[in-house]
Amino acid sequence: MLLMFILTASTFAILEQQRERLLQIAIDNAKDDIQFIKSTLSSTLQQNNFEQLGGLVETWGRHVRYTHELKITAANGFVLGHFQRDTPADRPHRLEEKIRYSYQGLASLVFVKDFGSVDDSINKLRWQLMSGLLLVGLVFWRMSWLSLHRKREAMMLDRANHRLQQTAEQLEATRAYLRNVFDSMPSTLVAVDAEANVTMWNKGAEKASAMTASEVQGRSFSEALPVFASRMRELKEAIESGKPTRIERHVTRMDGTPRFSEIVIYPLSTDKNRGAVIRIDDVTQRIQMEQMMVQTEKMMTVGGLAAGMAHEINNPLSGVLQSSQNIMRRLSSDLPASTATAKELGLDLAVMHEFLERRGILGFLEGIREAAERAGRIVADMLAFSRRSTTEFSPLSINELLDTVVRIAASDYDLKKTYDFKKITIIREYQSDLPAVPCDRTEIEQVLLNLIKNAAHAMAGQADRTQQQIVLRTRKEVDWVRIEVEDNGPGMSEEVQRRVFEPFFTTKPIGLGTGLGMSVSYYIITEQHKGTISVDSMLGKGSRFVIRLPYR
Amino acid sequence: MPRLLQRSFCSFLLLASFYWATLSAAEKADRPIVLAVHPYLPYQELQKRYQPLASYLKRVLGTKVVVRIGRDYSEHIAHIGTDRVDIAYLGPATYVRMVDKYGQKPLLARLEVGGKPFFHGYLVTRSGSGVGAIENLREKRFAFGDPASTMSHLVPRHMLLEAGLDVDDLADYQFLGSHKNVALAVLSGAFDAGAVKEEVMESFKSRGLRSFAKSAPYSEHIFVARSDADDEFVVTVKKALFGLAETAEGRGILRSIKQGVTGLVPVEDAHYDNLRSVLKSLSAHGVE
Ligand SMILES: Nc1ncnc2c1ncn2[C@@H]1O[C@H](COP(=O)(O)OP(=O)(O)OP(=O)(O)O)[C@@H](O)[C@H]1O
Ligand SMILES: [Mg+2]
Repeated sequence: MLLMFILTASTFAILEQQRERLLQIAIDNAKDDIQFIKSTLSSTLQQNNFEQLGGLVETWGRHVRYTHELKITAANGFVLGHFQRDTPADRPHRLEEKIRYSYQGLASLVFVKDFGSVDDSINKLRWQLMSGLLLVGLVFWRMSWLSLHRKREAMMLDRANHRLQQTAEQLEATRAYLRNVFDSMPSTLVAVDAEANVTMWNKGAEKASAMTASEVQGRSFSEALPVFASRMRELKEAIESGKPTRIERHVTRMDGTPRFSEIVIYPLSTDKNRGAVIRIDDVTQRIQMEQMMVQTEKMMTVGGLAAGMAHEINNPLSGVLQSSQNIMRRLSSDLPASTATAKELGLDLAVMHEFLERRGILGFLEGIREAAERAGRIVADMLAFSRRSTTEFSPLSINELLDTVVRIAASDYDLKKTYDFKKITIIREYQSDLPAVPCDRTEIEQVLLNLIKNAAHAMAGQADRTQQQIVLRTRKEVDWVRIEVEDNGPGMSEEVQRRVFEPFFTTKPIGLGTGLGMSVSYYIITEQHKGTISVDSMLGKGSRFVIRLPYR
Repeated sequence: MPRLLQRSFCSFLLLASFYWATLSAAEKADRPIVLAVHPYLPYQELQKRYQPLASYLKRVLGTKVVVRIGRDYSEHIAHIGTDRVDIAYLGPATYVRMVDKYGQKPLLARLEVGGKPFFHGYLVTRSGSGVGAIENLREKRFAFGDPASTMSHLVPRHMLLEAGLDVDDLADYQFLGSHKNVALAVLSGAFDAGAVKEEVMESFKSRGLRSFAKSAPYSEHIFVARSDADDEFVVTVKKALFGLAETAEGRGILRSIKQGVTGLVPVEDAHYDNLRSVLKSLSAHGVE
């Protein structure tokens, strides 16, 4: 306790000492200030800019704290500029200087600063120290030194801050800081005004466009970044509506290879003026990963389909093609075997040719060959299903799509042979006036096929006691079209339901399932089509997958 | 740190909005009528002063009217001279020079201040300077305003010449830009005398400014139209301008241009003949 008392007493002694030092600092500051004012005003005077003088004095007085009075008087007594605060000064400190100007010798400059603030800071400090001392005694004693030191620094800083010159510097620094923040973002950042002309351009943008900020300043966004010129409409709309806009994949081609960019437009608006900040990120890598996943899955699905194709269509097709070619060849008179057989039968080949020609039979044969060739080409085209599709949405009827998928499933070799798809009853509960849904046909087909396949797989493992069935249901909701794929298979445990959309989650033996089907479907529905997909299942009863796709 | 961020953000907004503000200026949309004003005051100030007149004309003409502030005097003259603007506001000397260079334009109206469509220039000094007449100016320091200004240079320069004084007879002379700056320079003792227009002379009287010579009357500022403007346009605009003094709203529009403006009145080219001869004789003395 005694120690505490001693500490408190000594601290106050130090404080008193510090008051003198603070005052001295304040006086030094004021001397600096008047020198600064003098040099500013004297250069203004030298330029005979009397009109500006009054304004400068006024500005300084109004903005520099603790200025009580500032007055400049011409040699003949004419007051050129005068500022005086209304409130009386607590501790006025007066400084005077002479300024030389044209012909008439010296103008006088009076600067009165109010040092009341020194007492204020001392009082504040004292209060701080007191409460601090009661709390942490010795530790605070050390800290008080630091705090005092900081206080002094703060005061100097304060003065520096409020000098006109330094305010300008600070503004510059702030600008530089902002610039730094702006530049250090790895994204391309572009600020535009209401007319979509560039006002700011960061380092990322310089890198992406190989144009410097000064080169693009004031130019139209489409001119500055021509690869994104096609997005001017979205940009204008975003500025107009004030709604942030996100373009998830903007495709550009650089030497033939596609690059994907994500563009986010943040509209800015003050009272009258509009504009936007545009952030552009290269998301090529991410998109490629996603596409790879879809691609892998597609390969799996199509793998099964393609095998079915080869067996079911290609063999009979080549039979048709070969047979029709053989018929044509054997009817012609060039073949020795044909001429021999004709002679034996007493058939005039020329007459027969004439007959075939007149009855149009040769034409029919040619037609068969052409049709078979065309079918062959379609089969080849089917393999393009495994190729990457560009995401072009067109409005489609979901009911028709479901029917198509059922047809594809029925011809799937795997489903047909291993899972006996014919045994499954397909029940269609379609809503007839369903609105068309803008979507990517192949992708949605792929999702529905995945669901139907999974259902078929699940039911195949069951004992035959009930009729296997898949219900395909469509319904119109307020903003959505709801699609349900329901089976009466074994259902899923809670655990499986939770993980069903996880990539590589499968309960099937190695080699039979990759566990990608549902995860890719999830991706297609939620990411590509902005819809939702969920599962609802009960062990022993069956599973129902519900997809919702927005139709407007 | 958060304060700094906040500040950066504020200044960013400020900078941005400042930039946009400068951009939102009138540009050709669907061929608006362009009202051109010479840059005798800061841009924003002039926009503010002439906006009411522009909106009034828009109502009368049914076409958008934009105020265009010239970059400098010569650009302003060139713009109206080559008919790139529809209506132009010109100082008297500027008008005379424009006609000299580009030929006559349809005249619309001239300014009437305090009931008079003409004004005077004053030679001023501070009380107790010992300058009482033009003749006393020999070997004295003299302050002019802008070299192109009618009342702070051209007319007073002519007055000096008439009194047999060329600038070489002065101890020193300088161009200080504005009329106000001339007044302050004289009052502070930096110059013994100077030349200002009437309103500035009046406003500094209380601080000790005194005039010792008054110029002849010269016709006030003028509005002209582009040379290919059709008669109907000219007649309509004239009628609209003349009518301003008759309504309270119109008088407000006039006051917005300048305190003390009482009307826009008919004008003829001959009103500028005396100024024309002043400019001619100045030009003979090498003053352009
Ligand atoms: N209709 C369903 N009934 C019961 N379980 C299902 C059903 N649909 C999916 N599952 C379960 O979810 C798991 C994940 O399905 P997903 O389609 O993602 O992969 P997979 O079918 O195992 O393999 P892949 O489709 O890649 O060949 C399946 O292994 C299965 O356990
Ligand atoms: Mg599957």
